[in-house]
Amino acid sequence: MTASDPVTARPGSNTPGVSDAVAIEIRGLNKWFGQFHVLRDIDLTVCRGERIVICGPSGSGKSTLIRCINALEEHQKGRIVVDGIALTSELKNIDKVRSEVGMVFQHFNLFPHLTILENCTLAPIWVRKIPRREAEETAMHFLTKVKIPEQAGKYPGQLSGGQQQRVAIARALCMRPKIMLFDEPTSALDPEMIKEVLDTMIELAEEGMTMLVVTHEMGFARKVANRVIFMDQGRIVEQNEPEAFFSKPQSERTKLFLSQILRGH
Amino acid sequence: MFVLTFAAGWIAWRLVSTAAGSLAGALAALAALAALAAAPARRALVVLPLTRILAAALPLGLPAIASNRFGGFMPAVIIGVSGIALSPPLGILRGPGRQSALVVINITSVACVEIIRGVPLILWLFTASPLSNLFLPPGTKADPILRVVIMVTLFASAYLAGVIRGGPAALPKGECEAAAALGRDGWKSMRPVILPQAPKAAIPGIVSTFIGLFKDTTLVMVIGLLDPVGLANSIRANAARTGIYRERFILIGLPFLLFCRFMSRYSQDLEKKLATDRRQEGPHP
Repeated sequence: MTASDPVTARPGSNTPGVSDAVAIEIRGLNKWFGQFHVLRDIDLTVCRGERIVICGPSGSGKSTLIRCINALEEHQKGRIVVDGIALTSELKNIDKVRSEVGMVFQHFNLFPHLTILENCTLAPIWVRKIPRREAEETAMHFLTKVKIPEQAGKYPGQLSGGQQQRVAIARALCMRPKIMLFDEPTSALDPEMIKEVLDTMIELAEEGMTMLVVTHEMGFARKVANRVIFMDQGRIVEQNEPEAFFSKPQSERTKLFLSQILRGH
Repeated sequence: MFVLTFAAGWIAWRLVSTAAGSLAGALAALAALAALAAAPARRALVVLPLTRILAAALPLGLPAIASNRFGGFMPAVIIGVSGIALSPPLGILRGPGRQSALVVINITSVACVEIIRGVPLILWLFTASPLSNLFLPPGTKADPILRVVIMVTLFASAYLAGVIRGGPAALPKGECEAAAALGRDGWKSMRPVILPQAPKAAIPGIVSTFIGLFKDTTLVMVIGLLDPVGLANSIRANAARTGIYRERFILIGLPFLLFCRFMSRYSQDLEKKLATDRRQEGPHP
């Protein structure tokens, strides 16, 4: 256990691009699925501009943790404050938080009946009430950024997995979120498509986006993350800067996990 | 004549099913049902104009036939087409009613669906006459065909309620989550995300309900209306035609087969037209 590690106390404070302003604060978070205790006493502070990679074996609660941050999962105990807004059962707050937080899913979850452009303009038009023209310009801007402006008129089913995931990133960015959550964004992709998605995410990180990424892409973690968090059985077992995390893992559980996941790398 | 009637029904069905998405469609159908229940209004609003139009289109000088003298495929087609046209709006109203947070609406619609669906249609047809005496103003002589149309419509709409409810439920959970994450959760995701995709998922179920409804019209025999099967019985009873039975059944079965084939064919086309995922166009190279 390294919960009292100095790195945790002031996360990423000496890393360039990371401010002291708190983006997400989680205190004593507990969640149950029926009898199953998925998240146990999670404490986590994320600063603005921080890039955090969360890893851990399946069922360790890492996806559930980031899904709690935009209230896709309800938590039963503890406190989550996102950009100064406390996540309570109050719907207004949930809506506010969701408009600040973008999310990218493992299975893209694009709307198959809408074109790529319409996928990107749906939320700005319906939620932000932005005029269609303006929303389309924004959408094209972000589609250009993820390098698929030429696919704007196509439907998700006509795109490759990697392209679809880049659309999903653009769709989230169109809401101009302050924080981006990635839930295993490359796990459903063929190996040759993983790179194009990771490249997009690296670019986003370089621009200073606050990012929480659940992934097993350790190369991405080394390159981009300020902090790597290892979770097991609903707890944060260990967290550290990537270099220290990979070279000097503290707990036996982390060592075992890293030896399994890094085999062949 | 068959073809003409059926074509007219088909057009009506298309009109109704395109309008069906709106509450207005449902209300209009209800209003029409209510108006039709009163015989003089029915005569003024529907029968006379329709007869005039038909007479103008096909100047054959055919005599007017009262509905209690309908026989053969005529009641089958009239009941089938009316039931098909009138049941979707009711079914659509009941789907959300079942999920309503208002306990009264919720319990009423669940009870309606369960009671109507849980009792055989044949029983409803038998009880149609005493029931219509209960609900219609005293002195109204409910037309037997109309009674059957109302019963068949209620019956089919109970089935449709379940089928239509299944449409949105068939959508992948991930899409609803994506909509929620973008700030449109629950009912707010209906309009842009769920509704455009629901019809395709519901159509196969809707059409099989319609096919079932159309074939069930032969049950009107039990309340004394002469459906094709009932009509054929008089041929059997005729001593001059003893031994002729294969022809009767083929002649009755074939039109039903053709109608149902047409309906399922049309539903396949509709499904193709409503396909929203565009996967069949193949992936981008």
